[in-house]
Amino acid sequence: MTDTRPPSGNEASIPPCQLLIVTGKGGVGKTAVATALAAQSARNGKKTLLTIYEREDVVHPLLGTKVSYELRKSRPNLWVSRLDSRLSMKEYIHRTVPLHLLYDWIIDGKVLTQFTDAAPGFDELMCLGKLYDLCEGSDGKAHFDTIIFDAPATGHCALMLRTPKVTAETVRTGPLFQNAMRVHNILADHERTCVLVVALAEEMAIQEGLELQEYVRETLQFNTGPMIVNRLRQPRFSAGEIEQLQQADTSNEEVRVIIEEAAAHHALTSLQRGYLDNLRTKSSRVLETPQVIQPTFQTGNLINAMAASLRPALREGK
Amino acid sequence: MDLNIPELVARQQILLCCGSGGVGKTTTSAALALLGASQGRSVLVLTIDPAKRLAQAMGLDSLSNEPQPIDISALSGVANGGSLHGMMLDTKRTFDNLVERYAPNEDVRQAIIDNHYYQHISSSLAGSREFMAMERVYEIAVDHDYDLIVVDTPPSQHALDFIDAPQRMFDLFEGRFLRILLKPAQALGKRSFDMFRRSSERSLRFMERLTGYEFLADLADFFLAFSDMFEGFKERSERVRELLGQPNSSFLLICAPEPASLNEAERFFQRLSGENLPIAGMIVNRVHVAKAPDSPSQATTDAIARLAAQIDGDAGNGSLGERLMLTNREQHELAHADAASIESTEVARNGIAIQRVPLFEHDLHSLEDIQAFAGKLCAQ
Repeated sequence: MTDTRPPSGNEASIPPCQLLIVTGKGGVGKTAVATALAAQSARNGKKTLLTIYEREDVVHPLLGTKVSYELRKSRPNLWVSRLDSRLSMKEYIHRTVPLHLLYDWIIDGKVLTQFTDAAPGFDELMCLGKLYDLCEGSDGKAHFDTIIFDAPATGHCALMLRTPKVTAETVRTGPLFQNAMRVHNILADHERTCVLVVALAEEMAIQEGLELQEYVRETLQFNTGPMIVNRLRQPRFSAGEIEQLQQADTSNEEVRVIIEEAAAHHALTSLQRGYLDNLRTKSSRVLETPQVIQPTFQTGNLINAMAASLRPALREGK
Repeated sequence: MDLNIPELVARQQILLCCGSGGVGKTTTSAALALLGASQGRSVLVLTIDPAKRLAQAMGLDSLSNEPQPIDISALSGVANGGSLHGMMLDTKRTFDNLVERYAPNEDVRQAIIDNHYYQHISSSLAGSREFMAMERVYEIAVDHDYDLIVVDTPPSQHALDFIDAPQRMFDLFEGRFLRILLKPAQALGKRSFDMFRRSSERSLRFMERLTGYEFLADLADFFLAFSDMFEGFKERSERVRELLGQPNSSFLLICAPEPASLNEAERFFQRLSGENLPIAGMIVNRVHVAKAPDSPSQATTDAIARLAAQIDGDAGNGSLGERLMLTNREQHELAHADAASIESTEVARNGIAIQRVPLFEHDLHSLEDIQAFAGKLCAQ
């Protein structure tokens, strides 16, 4: 394994909130960052839950643990689950409506399913409702010190985060209003919830990340943490070295290729550093996570390397 | 099997690019469209919320809900008659147009536009964007005369939301929920929901308990107004589905070689196959490639060591020779990891044509950049 030295730029820290919502443009490695954060939090002795947004039970791609709506323990101090709107609704009804057995035919039946499938925002609201329950421990289950939500990508996440407020404004009164506001309030509580945006050191990913951060901070007025810039490679060559290598006279084709690869490495890291420097002029809170390269892909190595780079940013102990 | 992209772009009328976000889907769509235009076809690319930079790269300040011409005259290698238009989906505008088209009269139209619930769903909540994207594709296919339409589908959380969303809405319209909700008003021939309170339906009373009266009343008013237009909507949606299933339409799976992205492509593949929709192939962007053999020969290693010794290295950063060999080894590891990930997909095992596009190391700033990317897209 290479390139896993903790990057130099990790002076920013992640706010000690109970709920960390991890999002970012698609393809930036949100899941890896969320999983690494959860792994490191668990190692720091915090009782941690990693929860994901999936419609069906899946095997977690990095932990290898089965993920279902019911909490499952994956490692010491680390539990996993997925959010599911229909199961959340059922659970909620069972808890709040007396004589709920009378209603199960409605809950499981087509009538309500058709409504909930087509009602925009319903899925998001119910999932956030479950997240609220997990934070409050109001479902009677264990209380977690840290809950990491591996949230949908940028656009969908922005819609999701504003759904409770929009719902409350649409409904205006009644129980749905009250519940939506309750969920909104916990998301808006800066002490409790923080939105973490993951990006790559690429123009579009950073731009989209900055826009989302601004939307979350200014429009929704939620707390945002440092931007996490993922898949960084450490500079390895100087410009002078590359220049001299490219001028070298060689007839060996393999040597040519190796020089080309070094030049490409240099171009990539220079580009990445350029975007990072530019980002730092706009935001002082930046965290770097490495591109992890290994002879054969092993998820454990990936998580360990990324968790190590995030360790300085996470407060230890309770 | 390799994917023959030039042939696909020359032959098809509709190309739908599917995939999760962040895998170069919008860029790929733009490049495919430009390729079609270069072949002399008249092409439209419909994108969903493109980065501003890409719109600028196509020579536009921004894209709008109507097709805008993109000036490709300065590009080399464009065949006679080739033209390119770009547009961006405006969900609310498209939804409003649809209401306009199918509302039986002005009162109904206004009632819908003013309805709280309509404002809620027509803006940008999940599902409606997917519905409207397909609606717009149909509109364009029928009203305009493009040889090729390239669609950059919305990056949904769930595969094929753009096909499922309309169906979910129709299930709702035809289902018992609405019959129960609307019965009291319809029985009296009324266009409002005030009879609801007297309904004895248990499921309604139950819903009211969960959501409150106001919400259900808004909802019922919305559906009452909408019920007259429902047939028109449904028929239209069926035609959209037909359009997507015809032989001139193809789906392309766009992804990156990371496991998460390939998983997503896999799900698209399963759903599309399940729906009997035509998959032309998979395009994997940002693939690492290694050009040299796996382990360099002793001669090469020696040559590198000699070369490195002649160069003023960066002190304190390890020997230049070692760094060069390390970089070479890493490139192999990255290339192997990508190749193995791609080969292990069900898509590959099913013999679907795959095009691997090497990692493009810089951002796209101009039409020339998009054209260069298109070149990589077609390279065999």
